[in-house]
Amino acid sequence: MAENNSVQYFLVAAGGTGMRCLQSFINLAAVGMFKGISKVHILLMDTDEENKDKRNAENLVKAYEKLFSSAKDAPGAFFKCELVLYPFVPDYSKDTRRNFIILSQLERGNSDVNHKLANIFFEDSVQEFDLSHGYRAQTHLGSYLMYHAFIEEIRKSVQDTVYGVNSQLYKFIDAVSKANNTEARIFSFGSSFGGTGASSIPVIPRAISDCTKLISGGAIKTDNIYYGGVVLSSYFKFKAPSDAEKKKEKVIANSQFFNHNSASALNYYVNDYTISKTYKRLYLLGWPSQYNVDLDQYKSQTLNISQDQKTITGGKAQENPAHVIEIFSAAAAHHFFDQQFTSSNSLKDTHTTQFKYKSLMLGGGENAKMVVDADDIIFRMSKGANTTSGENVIPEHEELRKNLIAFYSIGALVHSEYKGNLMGLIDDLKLYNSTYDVNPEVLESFSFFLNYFTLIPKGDDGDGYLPGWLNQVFFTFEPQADKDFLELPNRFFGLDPSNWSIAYPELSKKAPKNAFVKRFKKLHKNAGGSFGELVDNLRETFYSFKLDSRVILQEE
Amino acid sequence: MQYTFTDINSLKIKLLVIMGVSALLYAVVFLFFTMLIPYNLTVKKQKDVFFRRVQFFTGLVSFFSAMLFYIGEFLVRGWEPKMDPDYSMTMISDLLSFVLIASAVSLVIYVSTFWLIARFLRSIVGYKPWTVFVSNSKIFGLF
Repeated sequence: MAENNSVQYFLVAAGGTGMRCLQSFINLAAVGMFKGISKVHILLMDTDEENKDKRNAENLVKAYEKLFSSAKDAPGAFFKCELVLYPFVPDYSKDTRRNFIILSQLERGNSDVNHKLANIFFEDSVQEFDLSHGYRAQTHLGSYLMYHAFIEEIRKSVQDTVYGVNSQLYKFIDAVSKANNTEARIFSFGSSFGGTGASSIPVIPRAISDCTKLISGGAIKTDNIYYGGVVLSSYFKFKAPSDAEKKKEKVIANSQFFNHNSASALNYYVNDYTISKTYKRLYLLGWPSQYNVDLDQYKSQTLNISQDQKTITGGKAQENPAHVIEIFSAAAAHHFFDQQFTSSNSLKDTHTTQFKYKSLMLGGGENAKMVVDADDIIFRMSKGANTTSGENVIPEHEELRKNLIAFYSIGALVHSEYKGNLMGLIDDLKLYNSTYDVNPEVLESFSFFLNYFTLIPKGDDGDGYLPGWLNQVFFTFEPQADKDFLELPNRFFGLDPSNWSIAYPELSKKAPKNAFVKRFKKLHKNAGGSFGELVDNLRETFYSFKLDSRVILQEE
Repeated sequence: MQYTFTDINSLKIKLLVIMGVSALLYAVVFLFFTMLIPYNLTVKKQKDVFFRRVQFFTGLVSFFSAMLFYIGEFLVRGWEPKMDPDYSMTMISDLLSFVLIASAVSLVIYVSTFWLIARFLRSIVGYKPWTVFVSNSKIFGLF
């Protein structure tokens, strides 16, 4: 990935979908998608403090930060991009801030006039619902409140330096302000159909720019801040709320309307001046509605969880499976950040929003479903040969694919042979005179990360596994035929880690463990070292094997 | 041609060469056997290195025993008909007493051949034979 050192990179993840896109971004950063970028500042925004997707994303970044510290000086591709997290959650938990009426202080001053004004924009039910579980697909309210939350937080931080020191949003905006001296690229993740994300995406450029002005006392021209983002249309559905729930909650998200929400949002994004003059580029990502993931079906069939009949509005229970469209979101960020796809000059010369998209191949037969190849993830530009030196270079999309699969294979190997304990693998390699020194804290973080990526043990007693991130993507994608997903045999994924070797024809014949260690020793001899060297040596070992492929990738 | 007492040293060298070459071949064969035991990755205690060491020591003990108790004497007795009858008894007893030294030397050749190949021809034989001598980065995994 080509990087311009004077450019600084920022990511904003908003709402539940934004959190899952962020998880994809982190996982892909771990496997080297952003290895050319030294640092990405991540603003994590949610209105729901307890949202499980948000917690997962935060835990993932924390684990990533530890692993980055250990691996940054080692060669290779894993954990090479620094991620700095700035969580920001507008506080709607207190009684003094729990709904629009209280928050906007409609009762103060001339309450009659205030209410009349509010009623022009918002229905009574929208004004009254509990905000602690997010904006519940009420984007007109959400945009107003999110902008307000930004400005309020920065004003407080500017007025009170002690508050400012602890404010993560202030630190983020401050970093953006400083980056404006050279160039800042800010990319946003969020849905167009839900609540918090859909509310935030339209106001993010305006909110950030206004906040930088607040910090600098107006003495800033935000000419060097470039905004990009994804516009994600609906790709999952869940059970419609019952009448009783509707009556109780008054305002509740209903996935039946997600398609309509997406359509309205798209219309707005294409035509509205505040979007077209602020965002340099938007990536439109959609999914055929007939293949939308049914969350209730996923939970009952894949996870074997019997669902109660309640619709989840947010909180600890909101944890949706990862989807391939979230990988495309991270790939969109890659496209926006990468100089070879998006040069600084092209951004400077863009005066109205560019819209980007790409299409997936459709498999054969009746009820054909999509096929995801490696070059669907990274936009293809690398030609597979260094044109200046003439030497053969592996295309970037193929490199990413191999890294992704190598990382997954490490996880599956550790689960299959060591019950998830990486120390077992380290001990075995030590027995063969390859000694790696990994401290327990890093080991714990890596185990967490690896589990989250591949398979999550149900318990300590070998009760089986829940799908990790890449497996969730596989399950929600539901490939129609073998090798429709990343050109790999379907058996490679799933909840049985013993298939860790079948993606590699050279390993899957017989005694794969012997062949693996043999190659490891051949490549790395008696090498040892730090955690970074361990993961890179494991990566290189898997990398050195040919992958089973559906088609031979032809360069254009 | 008859061996006289003046040939005793050349017979000793012949004995030494035969036993030395046998040690060399024996080492190569047993090294090949150790290569056959696959690497194993397992949550249980590793056994593959242990099995390779068992093979190495089996080769070592069986070779030394065979040389000392059978091959050496077999060779000496084989030369007996060609010996000058006047000196044969003395020559045989001298040669038989040399078998112990020759066996000890061939034992050193067995070990050093194994060690040298494992150490310096890794690109050909792989890393498995080396684990006979060093595991956990310690000699025999202990020191």
